[in-house]
Amino acid sequence: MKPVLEFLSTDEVYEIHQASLEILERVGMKFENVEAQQILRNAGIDVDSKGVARFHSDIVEEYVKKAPRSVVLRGRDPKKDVFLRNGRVTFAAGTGMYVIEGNKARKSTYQDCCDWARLTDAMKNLDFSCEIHSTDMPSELTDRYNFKAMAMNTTKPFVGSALSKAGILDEIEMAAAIVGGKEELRKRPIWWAGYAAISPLTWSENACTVFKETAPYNIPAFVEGESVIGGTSAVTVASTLAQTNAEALSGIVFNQIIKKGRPCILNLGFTHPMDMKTCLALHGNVVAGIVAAAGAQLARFYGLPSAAWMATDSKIPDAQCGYEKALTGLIPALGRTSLIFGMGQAEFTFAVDFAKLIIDDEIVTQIRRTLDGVEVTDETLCLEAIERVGIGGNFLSPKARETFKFIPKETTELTIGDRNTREKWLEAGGKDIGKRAEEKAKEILAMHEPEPLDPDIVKKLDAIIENAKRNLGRKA
Amino acid sequence: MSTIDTNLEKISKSVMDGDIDTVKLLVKESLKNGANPLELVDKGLAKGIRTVGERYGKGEIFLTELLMGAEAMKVGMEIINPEIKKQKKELKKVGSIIIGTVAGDIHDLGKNIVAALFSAHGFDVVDLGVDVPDQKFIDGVKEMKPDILGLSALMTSTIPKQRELINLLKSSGLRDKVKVMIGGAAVNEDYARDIGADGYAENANDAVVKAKTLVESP
Repeated sequence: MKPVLEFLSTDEVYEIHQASLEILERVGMKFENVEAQQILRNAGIDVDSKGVARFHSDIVEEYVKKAPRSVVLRGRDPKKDVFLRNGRVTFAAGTGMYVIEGNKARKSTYQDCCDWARLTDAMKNLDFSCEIHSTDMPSELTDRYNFKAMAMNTTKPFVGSALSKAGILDEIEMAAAIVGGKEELRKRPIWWAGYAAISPLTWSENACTVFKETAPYNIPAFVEGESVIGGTSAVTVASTLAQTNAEALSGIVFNQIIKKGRPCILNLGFTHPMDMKTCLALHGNVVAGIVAAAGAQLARFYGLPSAAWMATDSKIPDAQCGYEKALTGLIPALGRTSLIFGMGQAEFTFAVDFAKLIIDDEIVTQIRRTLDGVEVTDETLCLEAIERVGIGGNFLSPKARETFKFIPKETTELTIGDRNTREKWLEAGGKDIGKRAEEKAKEILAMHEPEPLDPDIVKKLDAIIENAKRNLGRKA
Repeated sequence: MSTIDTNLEKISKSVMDGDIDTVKLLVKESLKNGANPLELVDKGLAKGIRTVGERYGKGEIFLTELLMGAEAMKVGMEIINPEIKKQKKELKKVGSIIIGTVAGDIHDLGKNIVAALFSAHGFDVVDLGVDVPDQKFIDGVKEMKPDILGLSALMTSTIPKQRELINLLKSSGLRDKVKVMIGGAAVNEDYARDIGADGYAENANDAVVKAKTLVESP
């Protein structure tokens, strides 16, 4: 059996669903974008003069059903496409504006984003990548630079960001240049766009724009309810689920109105509890994992993929980092969350640490093994081997040879964790895991070269960025 | 490359793959074709098992793969040995070892693995089993005159036995007649030095390497 962790009974899932519908009808959801308000009105939804849309439950249920049950995240290399199937758990990189080196954090640069993409491209447990910010570039253009850095340095699917309407339009042009035109982009939308509602209960101008502009190309929409529990949603997990689910559902309704059948991901897993003393959102906290796993259960109720964030609030690869990453990774994974972000993430979601990416890769190896559960078949029971080896023998001997093929599947192999005797460990320098991981990251970066992007395509990307720069100058 | 050379290559590769059936087949075929049995060992089987050992040492393969290689080697040797005798040739002696788990301890997983590898590498191995009384080790050394005595103990409560046995060898006037190697989960290099053993190794493969250097040293 493959284990599934459920925090809600079937009745409770339904109760939260109904609570979300009640919120959408009684309180409503504000859409800041005027055009979005008109789109909703045209679909028969009541939108008042302040832009607050009040949804009847039949409309919500009708449109949510239109979102497809099958979502594919596509990479530059089609072999790296990620099919989000029910019960399948996949893992992605974290994001940030800082890079941690030792005890210090410095602002991330375009070059860091390139290196980050390259390292994520090399990690075997990482299914799709996520940008970090090119803070050394003009602030209005970092989204384009991030996109270029990611597109050039990984062939896996990746998540981008868009800072403005001009930004998202440029990214569409860049994506089209890579796949060979806009018609092709509709068939192979190689990257995807996400936005979080502003809790409580608002869709921002920018979110509406990103959803709208990316809709014609069928680019998967990552629709997020992302409250800070106790601050922008009530302190109980149940209420947080009802509210963030209402937020995300309204986003999915909006997306289905503008483009029927557009792939959508219902993400409640970026919700984090607030520290009631410091007011900071705690990312490595176990409550975040519980919300994500319960959120995944709700998403399954609608037949949609879900997401979570494996995170730590620690600044260095220490014991806190290890336990927080393992818990916030394992709980949503056992809850069968479709996409778990945050490999390499550190310090809330502010920073990435290349060494942590190496450690997280090993944590994910352990998580994947846990998800595989226990396979019980005639073959895995190995009864003949037991008889042949007999009393007092051992199962390493060739007498048990037909069982050896299960070794890679049943056991996990450490890549960075220490499993040596003290002597061997000392002989190798007596280093802790952080130091070893740091060295390993450098080693991989020195070696790994992803499949390069065609130089002509790179020229096209550069031209788009140059054009954006000129427009920026004109505006100023 | 001649057929014999190709077969040697294939034999060493089959040992690496732990492919017992193919080793059997190729060794028989080569002997029938008049191959030199000593060369079959040296450039075929032994070359294969050396590579397996190296790969294991680098952490590239599992312990089970190492043991499959050892088994393939052993099976091959069982076919070649009678032929060597028939031709009145002699394999270069590698060495001999008496091995056992000390009195009070019945763990034998590690000891068996070590014994299998020694055997695969051409050592004459006498395995005294588990919970071996002290006197049996002493008698064994006296009668069989092995190059090496291997003492295994898993538990912290039984490792003192290794020291006692070394002392017993001394008082029996046998200490300089045999090299003593110790092994077991609770044992380490420091402890080995402390009790006056000649050798200790982290794992079965290293044990064979270590034993070979001990046998060669005066």
